[in-house]
Amino acid sequence: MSKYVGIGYRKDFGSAFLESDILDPAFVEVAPENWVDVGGYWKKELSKVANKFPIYTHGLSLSIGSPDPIDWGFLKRIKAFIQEWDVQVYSEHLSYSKCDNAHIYDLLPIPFREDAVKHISQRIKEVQDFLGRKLVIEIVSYYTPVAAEMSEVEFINSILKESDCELLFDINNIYVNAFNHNYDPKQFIEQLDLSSVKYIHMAGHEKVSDDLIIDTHGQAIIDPVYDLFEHAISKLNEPVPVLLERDFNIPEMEELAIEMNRLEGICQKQWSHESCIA
Amino acid sequence: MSHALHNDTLEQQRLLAKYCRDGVEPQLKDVTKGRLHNYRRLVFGVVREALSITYPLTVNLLTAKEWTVLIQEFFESHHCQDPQVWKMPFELIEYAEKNQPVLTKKYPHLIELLNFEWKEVEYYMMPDEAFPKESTTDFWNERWVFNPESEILNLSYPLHVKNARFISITDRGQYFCLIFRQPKTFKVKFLGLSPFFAWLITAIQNGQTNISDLLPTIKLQFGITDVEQLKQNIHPFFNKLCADGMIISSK
Repeated sequence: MSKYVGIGYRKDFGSAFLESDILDPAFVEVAPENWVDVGGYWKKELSKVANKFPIYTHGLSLSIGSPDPIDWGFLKRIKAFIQEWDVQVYSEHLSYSKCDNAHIYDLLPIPFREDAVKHISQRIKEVQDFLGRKLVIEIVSYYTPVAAEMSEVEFINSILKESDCELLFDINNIYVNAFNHNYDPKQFIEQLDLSSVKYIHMAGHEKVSDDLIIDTHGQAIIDPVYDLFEHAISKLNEPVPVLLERDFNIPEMEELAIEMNRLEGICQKQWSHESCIA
Repeated sequence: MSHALHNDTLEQQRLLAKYCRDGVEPQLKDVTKGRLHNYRRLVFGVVREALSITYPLTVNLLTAKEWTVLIQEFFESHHCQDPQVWKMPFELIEYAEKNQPVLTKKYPHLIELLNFEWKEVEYYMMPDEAFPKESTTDFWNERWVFNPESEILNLSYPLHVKNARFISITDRGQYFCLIFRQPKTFKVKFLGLSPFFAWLITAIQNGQTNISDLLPTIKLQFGITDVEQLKQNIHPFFNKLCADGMIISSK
């Protein structure tokens, strides 16, 4: 039985997810943008999911790293969604997806710079004050740095320190970034402020060339990412929830169950002496 | 805008975002050679997918090149406002109406088709409305209680009955189509209406009245004097609306 591992709930699962016991997640994660102001069939489905599992959320459009002002009207709707569904965790991306008053609908890399640290930290604090909870910020994958003046890890640690937010420790993203930018992922983890880790994401990716991986969430997790996960959680002081993300090429539930069980096994091995988190 | 962000950082962010929208490669500082195009590709892939899923009939109507150019120009020049990507396609309608004179001339029913397709998404996804507690039993003497998740579309082209590719300016006229979300299945249903039934539904809704009370107006406006024949015509229609969940009935 799962204690630590949840699954990203996809509409592609359909009713099979609820009608079978093949997947037994500790929680489910949804992107609030896909569910806010939604009624009818999908609201009914979400109600069934929420009756069975705790709900975590992973936002897409907050655009915390944007030069544009925060969209407080949107955040108000997110807050209402969080309250309505008794959401346990609200996480977002350390990136930007809106600029010059236009949504981009994907995650763009922020320049690793001191002024960006101050800008983003101030915004995170404002969002946390508004929501009355800490924001959990994800390390995103990126394919090129832009105008960087500091290292990625310095950038992330500085924001964690200045904003007092929490960290979504995305192990696949760290693996992808280390590969794409030619650094050692374990060394990166050593340098990261792990005291802020609240939540972990695990996913698959696609290697598109000899020197580039795209973070697709469309494949199974590969062995080196499992190894990095085991290494990473051995560095944590306490258990945290772990999510299996699968957004495309959704396989049969049995295949997802195999991945979840493998993650659960690693967690149990590492944290069996700890209390369960969900 | 935060005072913390320096102009150069702001400019770098703006250049990257602009590139994702227009595909014209910018002069960005310290980027890894050959990698930037992935952002444009991924971003536009998201936009293309959202628009194509929402507007399959329009994709089928336009040539592949026309569709691609339309959505490229839309994403480049329009500032998408909705943080929910599934709602973003709605913004294409106004954009196309104001900025695509060549397309709208070639396809006079294009804007109506976009609206028609968006309505299906809108009704499928819309927040739940409160349903009335009362219901209708007697189709003649009681006011029909309608599903609140419904509307009559007043169309200039027969989009609900004819393949959009075969519609031309000669089809221009007045058509009525009822759209509603079925309360049990949550499926969105389209139902073509004659002008009389469109009028009848509207009159009952607006007047909070029943058919019996509408008889004088029906006689005056439609010249219908045979009440028994009228009953025989309306009853099956009423039964169908009840069965489909458009009328809330205790039957």
